[in-house]
Amino acid sequence: MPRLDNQDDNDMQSFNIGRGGFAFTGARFETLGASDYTLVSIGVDVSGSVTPYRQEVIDMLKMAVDACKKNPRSDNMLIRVFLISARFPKGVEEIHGFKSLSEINVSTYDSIQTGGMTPLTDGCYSGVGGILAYAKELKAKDFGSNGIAFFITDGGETGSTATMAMLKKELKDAIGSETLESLISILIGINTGQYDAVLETFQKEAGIDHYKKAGEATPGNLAKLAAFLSRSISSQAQAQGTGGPSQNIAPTI
Amino acid sequence: MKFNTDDHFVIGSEHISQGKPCQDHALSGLHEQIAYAVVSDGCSSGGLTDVGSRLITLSTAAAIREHLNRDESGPGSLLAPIDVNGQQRNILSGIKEILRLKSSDMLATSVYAYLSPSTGFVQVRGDGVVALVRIDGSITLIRYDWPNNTPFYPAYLDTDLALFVDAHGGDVKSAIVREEIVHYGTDGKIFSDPDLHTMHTITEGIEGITTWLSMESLAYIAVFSDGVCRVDGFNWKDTALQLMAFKSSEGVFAKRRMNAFIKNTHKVGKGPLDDIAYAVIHIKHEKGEM
Repeated sequence: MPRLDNQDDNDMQSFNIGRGGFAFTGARFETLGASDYTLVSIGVDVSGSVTPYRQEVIDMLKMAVDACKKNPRSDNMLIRVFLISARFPKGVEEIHGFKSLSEINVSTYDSIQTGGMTPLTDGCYSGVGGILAYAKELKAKDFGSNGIAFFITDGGETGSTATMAMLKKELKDAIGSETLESLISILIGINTGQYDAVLETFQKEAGIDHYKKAGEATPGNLAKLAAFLSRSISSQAQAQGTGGPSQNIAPTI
Repeated sequence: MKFNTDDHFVIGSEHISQGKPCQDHALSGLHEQIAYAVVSDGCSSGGLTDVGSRLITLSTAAAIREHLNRDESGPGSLLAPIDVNGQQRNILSGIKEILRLKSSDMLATSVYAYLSPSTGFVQVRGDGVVALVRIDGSITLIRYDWPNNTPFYPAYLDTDLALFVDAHGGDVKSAIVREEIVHYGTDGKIFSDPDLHTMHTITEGIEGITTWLSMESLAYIAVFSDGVCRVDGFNWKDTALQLMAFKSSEGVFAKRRMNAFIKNTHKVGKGPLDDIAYAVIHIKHEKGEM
């Protein structure tokens, strides 16, 4: 899977999600020093319909990640940002895998390009599956972890390789296993218009915890979305070690 | 050869239910070319021994650093244990005076390791466990025990030494301090005599029981408070072995190991009944050193 940033290959390692050819990268364990981590997946739809507000989406991602850097638990967060589009093999391309905030250079987000359809199931499967697979590896090395996954889209599912059954199983395994202390999954609709109902149905069918409407793709709404992401990540990071999920996911963005 | 260290301590369930603080403390670190690991277990029936145990570990670490500054042979000097203990006592007496602490606040054990790239030693004043893991995977566990759960506390040197000796029969030559030794082979099986032990006199226990170490074959050394012997559903050897089964040696590797172990203990029992402290030194040999 090609990556867009200039991360040092020596510090990152590739992992598979199941046997369907999905993969992701994560920091090598010997580079990790903390006792526990919050694994964050941010999957962003970059289909052709996002083109008119591409820059706002890039700015939103930068704001969200930069805000996390100011969090007291920032040393205990590993963040993966990936793009969702039918242009990519398995519908997903990583900007960067799970890596610590100090290693993330948000200027690499500027290279994001839009185009293609939205393989939403592929994106959600990769997001949840990546967290679960990496958490398993972390647990084997005595690291504790919880996770939070965001999927930001402006439209419904088109042409995924992963099936709804695969996504449902991954979510069920993530919640039912003792691998993760807790996992929160959030589907976020932006500029969705008539697709809200479709996305809500998708969220309920898959078993994703929440569906949030971010409204029109205005700079103001995207700034609010960035704040929502960083608040939710912060909240889940503070919940790590308590045995349960964060109770503070805001009802609205 | 490179060292890295970590330490962790947790409160036991009995102290939680009694509303007491954790009275164990662990500390480890590096100073120039040496590494140290210290634990201290505060007496439950003493005063502010949660403070006392912390002051013991901090003052011991400071004394080790000062010792190296004064004597570049570090732990290679035969007088190092005496010098460190003497300096630690000096440091502690000053702090005790400033903070107006009572002797009962200082009732806490001291178990520490002091290593250089060529040599080192472990010293036990009180009770606790020492674990040595070798490069080949063989392990030695050593447990130190005083009768009637009445271990020596270095603070007795300042006030109650005669009373302490009397409590143990009054004869400083009587060999009452038990050093139990268990050797595990590379296959993980015990190969030592099941009753392998040494008895030390009260005098030796008061001066501190010192075990000298050679670095060539060592991979990890850990010092534990005696809380390691009181984990519900686990014997002390299994607990120590589990706590030495590191999956990685970066960052807070001891904290991670203990957190994972404690999580597992709650599946079979109440977990640690007593506070546990442990401090670990990882000895990383460079290629060609072994």
